[in-house]
Amino acid sequence: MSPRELSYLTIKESAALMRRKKVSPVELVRAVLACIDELEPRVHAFVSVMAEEALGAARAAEREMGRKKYRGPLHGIPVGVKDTHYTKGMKTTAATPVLADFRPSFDATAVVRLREAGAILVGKTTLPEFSFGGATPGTYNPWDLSRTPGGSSGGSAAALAAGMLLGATGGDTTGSIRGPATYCGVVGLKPTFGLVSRYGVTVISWSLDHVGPMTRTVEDNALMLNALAGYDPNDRSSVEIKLPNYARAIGRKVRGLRLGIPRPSLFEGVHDEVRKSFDEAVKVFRKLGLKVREVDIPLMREAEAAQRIIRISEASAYHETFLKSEPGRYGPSNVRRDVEAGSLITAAQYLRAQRVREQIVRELETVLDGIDALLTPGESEPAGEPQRGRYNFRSYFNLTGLPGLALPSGFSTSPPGLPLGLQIVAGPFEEELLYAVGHAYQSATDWHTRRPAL
Amino acid sequence: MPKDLPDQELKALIRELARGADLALTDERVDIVLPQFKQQLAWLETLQSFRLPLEAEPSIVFRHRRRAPKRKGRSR
Repeated sequence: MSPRELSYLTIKESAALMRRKKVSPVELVRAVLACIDELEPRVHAFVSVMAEEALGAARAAEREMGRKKYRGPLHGIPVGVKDTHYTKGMKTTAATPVLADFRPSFDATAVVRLREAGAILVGKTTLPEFSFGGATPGTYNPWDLSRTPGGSSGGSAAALAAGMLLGATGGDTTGSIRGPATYCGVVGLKPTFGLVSRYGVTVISWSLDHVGPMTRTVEDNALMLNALAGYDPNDRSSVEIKLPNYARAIGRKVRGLRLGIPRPSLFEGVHDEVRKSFDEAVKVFRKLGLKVREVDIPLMREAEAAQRIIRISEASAYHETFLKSEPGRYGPSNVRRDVEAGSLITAAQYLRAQRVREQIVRELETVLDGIDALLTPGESEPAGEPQRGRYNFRSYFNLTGLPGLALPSGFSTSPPGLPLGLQIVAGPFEEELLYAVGHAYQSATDWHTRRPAL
Repeated sequence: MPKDLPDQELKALIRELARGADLALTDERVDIVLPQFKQQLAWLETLQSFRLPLEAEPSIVFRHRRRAPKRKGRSR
């Protein structure tokens, strides 16, 4: 296989080839590094690439496999993490001059778990300053290099779409895994709040931040979640639950499941191409035997306002030290402006937002009682098009903490060739249901197998 | 509503709130912050117009975890 073919293997395919000794971790990492050498000058998905360390880890993985010490399907798989994830002794910049020289003394729990699963850390991916924003300046969408990959996990999404990684992590406070996953035609999970540890990741908002896996297929996403999920005493929001094997949900029967879709008025401002793709996806789900019906997603305007106030209040508290000691060190983005404004929100105003949040969660529970999963567009427009969607289908699920899986659902014709995507949402800790439904969709379609013409 | 105040009054409000928050904002920073402050006021207005029941609690109410069971061990 050529390096490009190797670098576009899925995690599942690579794991199978490595078990049969048809491909070695060193070959796979070399292929990915060759792809990075070729494409990174055009895509700019990485803050740093750790080529020597990755090859060293790949050799160690090979030796382990030779001794029949097999860690699981991520063993020997080249992955990247967003440059908000602490990596011991290595720079973690969060794309800000404020942290330009920051070298953490420990790994983020997500990084620890990926390493323990045998994954090979190849690089740290780009983001906007402090993860603020729905674009990743300086990183380009592999499907159209004149366009954004989205943000804030734009580097991870772009790297996956370009075949420069087989798996990646992202962070999601307002849609920052699902948005770039949609724009770049890959798969991204914002898990249930508390399922994946946030420890050792630079913060936007403690009660809205999520860490999650990004991959090219739903099945690969389940394999990565198996490594990432689970209680972490270092993260006070981390939940102690019995974890399933998420990969066992792949291929599970979906016929008869009740799928809710938003009532038509909630599509106000959604790009025509997105709406068309969404309607086509609904037909696929009907053919798969799911029972589809319209539902109301309650209090979307109030949810947007609550999420914004909570986010910026908590972010401003996190930034207090930087604002007071070195405000001049922020980059040219709007982060400093936003956290200065956020510092002016009173405690009563913040708590009101949190009280409204609790009411929204309760109302949504009533809606979810009548369905198994909810389907929404992943983004309201293709990458780089004006954002006119009236309602935000992503931040709603940061506010309510429910899991949301973004996956590709087609390509636009006008403008041509840009990925379009869906979001599937389920109840708390029902990631297995997301994977079952998402994989069923990917078994009936081939959008996730398409590659950009780089 | 505060968001309908003229810019000069909003800037004065920003300065006072910043003083209360111990945040030093120059006149230039106040000008930069103003648009975002107005956006925040719009969000806050949306939240103010939502009728909250008296018993509504915030989502961040403190909660405990049960301690891990103590292991049987020899006393020192």
